Amino acid sequence: MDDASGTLGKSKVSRLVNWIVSTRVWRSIIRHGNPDNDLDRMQAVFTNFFLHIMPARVHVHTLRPTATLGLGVIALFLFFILIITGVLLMFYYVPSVDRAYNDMKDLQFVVSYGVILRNMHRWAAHGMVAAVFIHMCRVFYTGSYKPPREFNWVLGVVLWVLTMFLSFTGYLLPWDQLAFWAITVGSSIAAYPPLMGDTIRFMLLGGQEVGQGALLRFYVLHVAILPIVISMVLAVHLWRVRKDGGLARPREGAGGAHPTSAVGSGDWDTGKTYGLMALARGVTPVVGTQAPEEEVTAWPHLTFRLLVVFVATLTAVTAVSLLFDAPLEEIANPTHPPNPSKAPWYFLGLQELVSYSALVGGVIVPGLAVLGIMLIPYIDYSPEAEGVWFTSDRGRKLAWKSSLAGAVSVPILIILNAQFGLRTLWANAPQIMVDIVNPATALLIGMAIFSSTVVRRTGSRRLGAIALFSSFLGALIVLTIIGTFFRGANWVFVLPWEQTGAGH
Amino acid sequence: MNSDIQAENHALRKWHWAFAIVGVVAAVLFTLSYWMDYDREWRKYQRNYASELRAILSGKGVRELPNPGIVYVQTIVSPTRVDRCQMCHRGIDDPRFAKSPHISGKSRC
Ligand code: HEM
Repeated sequence: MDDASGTLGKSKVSRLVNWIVSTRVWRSIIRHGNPDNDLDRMQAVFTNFFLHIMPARVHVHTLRPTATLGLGVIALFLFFILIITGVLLMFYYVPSVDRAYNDMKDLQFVVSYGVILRNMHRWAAHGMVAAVFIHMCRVFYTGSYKPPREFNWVLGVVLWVLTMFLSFTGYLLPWDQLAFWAITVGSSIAAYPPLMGDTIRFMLLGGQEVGQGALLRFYVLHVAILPIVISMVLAVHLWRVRKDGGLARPREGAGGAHPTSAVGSGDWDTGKTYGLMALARGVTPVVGTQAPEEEVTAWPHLTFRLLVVFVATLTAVTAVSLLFDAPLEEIANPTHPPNPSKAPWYFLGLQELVSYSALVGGVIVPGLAVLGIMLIPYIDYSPEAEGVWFTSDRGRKLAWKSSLAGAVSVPILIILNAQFGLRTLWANAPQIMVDIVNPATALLIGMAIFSSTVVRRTGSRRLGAIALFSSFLGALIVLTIIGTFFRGANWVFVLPWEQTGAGH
Repeated sequence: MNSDIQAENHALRKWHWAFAIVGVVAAVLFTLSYWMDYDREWRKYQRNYASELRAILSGKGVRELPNPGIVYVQTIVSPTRVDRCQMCHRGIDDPRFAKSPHISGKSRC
């Protein structure tokens, strides 16, 4: 709308534009002027259904790439990509054991854009599992779970578990050998809890084994129940980010009032710098007049970044999908198990532990891990250095050392187990003893002793949490690598280049 | 103006550049995915087949010669399986193609 050039064409265009934006129809949809001043920029955000999840103004710290690494929004955008590609795939896919595999072949050879759609859906799913996990790590290491964000952390853990489950249920749908046996192995883990394990597995599979019943259940979970549940929990998760006063950030200067620290002391100030209710009442709300120095308008500072991250995420998924095809093996054959049969990669750490003890690896470790991670903010609630990576230099060093310790202890324990394990010394040792003496239990006990020692020595629960989380992380990564690359037929140790036909 | 906010305004300009770059890469990739989707492996085989058949038939008074520009999905549905072998392996059981370099004993599905 620039009349300055004075050319006839341009002024006609700008008159047309002016006329359009002044019409009743336009004004009924877009309720703010051109966002070229702060007031209209803020109105652009809070009068838009899709944008109003953001605050009208954001703190500059929040915008720094190092603050969040953009991981939450990357996970969110991957979820969007999954929904769009997934709905398109639903037009072709029929969850029947007679048709599912052929539908995959059709997608690959006949359906327009079938290959790229399937690839995008597959790689975005793996990407989302990874992004959600790394997002959890970033929230942990920046101490962003501290009050008042405890409950949002819990919601996050729920989202993490749901995301893995969403990916796992999708894994079966191609009905090829990889799918069939990965789910057979994965769902057998569900049968390990004592007393009710078999019932859980039966409910999951709709039968005693992976068949038509399981395919239909996994399909319904995958395309309806889990996406809906995730969307709802996600809505609350993002809403809570707003209600908790935006993203966690370091205190401003020494002794500077921190917007969120007041909450822990029983005050209900959530650090919001203006009231949304006050905004809604007026026609031209007066936001920004009391804005702190360090804030900028979300439009365009945040919205533009989100746009770039979205296009970058979409581009990365497209690039990977053009380069690598999603695996599709032979049609599922219940009488021919591949050896080894492997669960999806994000469960291979668990499968490795299950190989020592089903009870410990399949029930106790995952149960304690999820519960323990959920409880972190209720154990470490000190307002110490939230929004600061690793809290302090000491924390950073501890994080590195503990993850290294966790990582190194895994191969050591595996070698010890191979040499002096209970079953090698006493072949008929009762199962209960194997469940007590094995690498998985040793890892658990080791981590518990290690982190409680850190708490006792330093007097800081935050450092104890860093020790525990980092050693868990190091061990998990190494266990997953071993399960993925170093396990061959009958789960014996092999070198990656000697692998024959392992899964993905 | 606060120095942090100045730095932020400066940073936003870098994001404009980032947008330009990812935008161009995205456009290239979308074009590429269109092309890769169009240019399926079987098209090439069908084109070769049609032009070979054309060469065999031309001059023999056949009224409609095959057009190498026309390719199609061929599906044979039997009660037990869906079979698209002939999308690539055209002329595999056609004696006129017995000597064709494109048909070797191995190309069965
Ligand atoms: C489906 C999975 C998830 C999605 C899409 C998601 C999305 C987001 C987004 C968009 C944000 C805003 C900041 C950012 O981008 O980092 C955020 C913040 C947050 N997320 Fe998640 N998240 C997910 C899972 C998790 C998990 C697994 C956890 C932890 C267990 C978690 C805990 C949090 C917390 C505590 C915040 C506030 C962080 C702060 O104040 O700095 N979220 N999430």
